[in-house]
Amino acid sequence: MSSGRRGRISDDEINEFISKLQALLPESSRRRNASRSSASKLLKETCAYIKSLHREVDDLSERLSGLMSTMDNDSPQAEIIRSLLR
Amino acid sequence: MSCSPPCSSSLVGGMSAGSKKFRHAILKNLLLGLRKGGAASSSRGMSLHERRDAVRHAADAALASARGATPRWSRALVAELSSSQHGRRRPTSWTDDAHHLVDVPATSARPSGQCKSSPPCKMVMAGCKKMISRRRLRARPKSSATARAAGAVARVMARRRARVLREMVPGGRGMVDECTLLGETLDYAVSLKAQVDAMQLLLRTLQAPKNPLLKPQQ
Repeated sequence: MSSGRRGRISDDEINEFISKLQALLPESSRRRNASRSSASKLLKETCAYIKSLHREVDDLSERLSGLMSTMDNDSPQAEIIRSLLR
Repeated sequence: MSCSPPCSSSLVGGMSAGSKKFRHAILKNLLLGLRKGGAASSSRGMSLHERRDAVRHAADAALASARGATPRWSRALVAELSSSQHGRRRPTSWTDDAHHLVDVPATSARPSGQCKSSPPCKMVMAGCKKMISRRRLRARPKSSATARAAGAVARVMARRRARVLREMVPGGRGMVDECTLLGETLDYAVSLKAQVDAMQLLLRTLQAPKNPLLKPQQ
């Protein structure tokens, strides 16, 4: 689609990418613009963010599994699951 | 960074990574996967450890399936899940369905010089390359600080940060093109957040059984 030769578009796209990245990262780390802070810092924060999301998924998996192990077919939780799946 | 490929699976899938619809798709797939995997029942005799792994597995499969086959990380994730599945006792897996969404073994180490993901990523890739070559020709780019940042991004990516990212994003090791890696990272991070949201939603719903059913609370 893109021939890769349009310099103007590449500026905009990079800009968009950087701002998306900034918008994505949690509030607390969004204090400076990418134009001021180093790109390295931005990417470092991205790495940290992904790592923290992984940890959250692990933690949530653990908690969910704990909940589910106490569920039996008659429990309200099971009914919730059944109705969510209808 | 959204792209909607044709969705041929019976599972909910193939929508943009940031939408509410996507989050709900993950949730639905998760429930299906949990039920099928046997984690959603106390009568299975699973150890807590096994059950946790089953939940994690279902969550990742739900994520990849909901995201669809467009991003490389999604295909790579399905491949990883399928290969880990073979070591298990369960005969069929929901990831078999997800695997049919993709037809590329994305964890191959074969380097690809092409960015195969969505059009915005292609532009980012083109932009990156342009930035890199531009920096070589001139001392200072004509445009603003953003362009400097872009060049800086390109340089930094050539170093260890790229290595770390590659390890964290599924299929990252196969992405030789760093601009591909950047685009995939962004998409992956957004999708992960949706996965977390979906799981939190499920957890909250299950913890409060007296609440009216079905209504997602935020």
